[in-house]
Amino acid sequence: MTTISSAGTMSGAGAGFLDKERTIAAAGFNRWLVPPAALCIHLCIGMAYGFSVFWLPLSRAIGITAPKACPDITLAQELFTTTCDWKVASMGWMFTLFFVVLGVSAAIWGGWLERVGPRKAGFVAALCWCGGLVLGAIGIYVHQLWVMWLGSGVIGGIGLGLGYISPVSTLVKWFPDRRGMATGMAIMGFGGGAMIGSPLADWLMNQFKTPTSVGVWETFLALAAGYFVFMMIGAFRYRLPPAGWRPDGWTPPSEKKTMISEHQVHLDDAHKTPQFWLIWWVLCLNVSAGIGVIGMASPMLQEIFAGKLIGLPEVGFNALTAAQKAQIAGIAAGFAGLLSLFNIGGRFFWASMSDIIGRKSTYYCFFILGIVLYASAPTFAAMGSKLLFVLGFGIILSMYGGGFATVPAYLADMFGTQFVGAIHGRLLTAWSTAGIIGPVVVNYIREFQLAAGVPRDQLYNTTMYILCAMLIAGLICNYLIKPVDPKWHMSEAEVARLQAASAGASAGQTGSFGIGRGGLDGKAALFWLFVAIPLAWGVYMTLLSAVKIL
Amino acid sequence: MHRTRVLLTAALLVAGSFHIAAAQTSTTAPAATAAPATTEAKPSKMKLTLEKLKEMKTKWSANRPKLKACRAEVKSKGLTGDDRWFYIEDCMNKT
Repeated sequence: MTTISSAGTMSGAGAGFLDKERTIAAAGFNRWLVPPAALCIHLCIGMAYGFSVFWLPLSRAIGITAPKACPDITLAQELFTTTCDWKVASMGWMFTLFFVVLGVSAAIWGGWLERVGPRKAGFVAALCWCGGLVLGAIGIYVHQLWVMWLGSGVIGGIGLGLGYISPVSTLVKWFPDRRGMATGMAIMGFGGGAMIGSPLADWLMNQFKTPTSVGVWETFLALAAGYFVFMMIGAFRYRLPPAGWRPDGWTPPSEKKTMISEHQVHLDDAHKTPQFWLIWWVLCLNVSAGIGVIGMASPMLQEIFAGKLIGLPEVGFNALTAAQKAQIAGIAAGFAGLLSLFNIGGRFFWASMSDIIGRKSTYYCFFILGIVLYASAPTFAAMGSKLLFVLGFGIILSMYGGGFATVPAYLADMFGTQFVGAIHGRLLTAWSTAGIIGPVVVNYIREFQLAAGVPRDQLYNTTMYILCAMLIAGLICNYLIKPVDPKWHMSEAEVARLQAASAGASAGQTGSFGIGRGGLDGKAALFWLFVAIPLAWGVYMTLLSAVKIL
Repeated sequence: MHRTRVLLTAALLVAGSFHIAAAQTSTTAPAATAAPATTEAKPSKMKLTLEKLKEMKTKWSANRPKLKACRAEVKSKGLTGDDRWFYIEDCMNKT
């Protein structure tokens, strides 16, 4: 075992406090302090999923008690109006902005992140995400939709992209023995962010509400302040392992037996390989089908189970009164909450599972099991079995989340760990694309069928079968993924040159450098509690809403 | 390769168990729902023939203006999510 007790302490001198050189871990560091640092960032930016909590209050920001609607207003007019309330649909564009800008910014600045390290990237992410919220608050205060879009959507979206990829390569380097589990933990935080943020925002809006304000801009400011503190803690707790670091007693698995490459592919070459594009399509198709099914789950539950949800099994959906429909809509919201629990649970479960069965096999699972479950969902519903219906959708959602969480490790296996953060950033354009494809496919197919006179009882079947076709395409792409052609591998000299340029390099040596394997000591336990308590509160709040379905 | 095979077998077993569970539930379902259950959206079999496809295409061409009008209504009302989903359906069913 090589031990260089000074590893990580030698090169920090003279560097700025955000520089990569200052983040190299010293001997005695515990690697289990890194995942909670990543969670600090991901739990904050994950609130992007929960923004819909603001739409209803914002839709009556001027009218206060009821929306001051201007029926004939166009979207362009809405951007600048100060006298009409915004439509929920117009505010919904924020989600498109979030996820398109997330993908684009991750793709653009991934290379920069690899150069400057995770601390600076996390710091800038905090400035963008929280600064975006502040600008969004100003937009709401002056009632200018374009300012809110620019602030929260565009600038905040850049923060999302940088924050999302900031811990990926760091975690993969710290946990070469469990890279799936490590990235799964961080990406689970992104799924859990809305669970904390939505009820918190709801509570804050109620505190700030006055006869002249719906309390949203004040909530934006409060959230920005809280998130800034949390994200700073995360950014400043990031540590990088010294180059060549390996956990004590760990030897890399044989490349011949597994699909885990010991070689590095340069960021500039990764997108030239078929593997990159095949993984791109694997992610895009898995996410598109998942987003499609998320859009369908709630109306499908309401329409098919209808009166059964409120103890009136003989009453169909159309025979329900408005009050009863509102009641089942509340139950459907609980169902959506339950699905989000499966989504975040799946991120951790499947990513950890991928360390045991391999990434390719994990995606085979997603696609094969997915095809069976998507195709069976209408049957489960028709049988009137709430348990099978909820369980089926739950597993589908767990695989949707698992797809996100497993992909960084898949990339690290294929392209090595040197540029995995940046390559992952470029791959996230698949997510942005899926964010457009999924809802469009589901809505348009359904509306096309309605116009073509397809009986109502068939509408869900056909849409599900089309989503199955997407999964079959994904399955084929996954099958075609083979190890990267050696012509794309960086030479040992190139890798050594690159590592020598980075801080903490130990002249080509490998070992644990006195860092060991780490464990849950007192300091790590406290940091874990720091992130686990809010997450547990969010899960509890979600469960409270989800029990309505029982 | 061996792992992949094991995994595929496991996936098929899980899938199989779901179908068994489904089959078991469906055999008990008629008794449980012997009461007049009138949920409208129950999947049934629809055979897709060339004739059926032609018929669908004709209907789709005829209903396109109606769909366009319904989409315009949804847009003007600013509906999203479930509200959009149900509104379009009700709107298309209007005579």
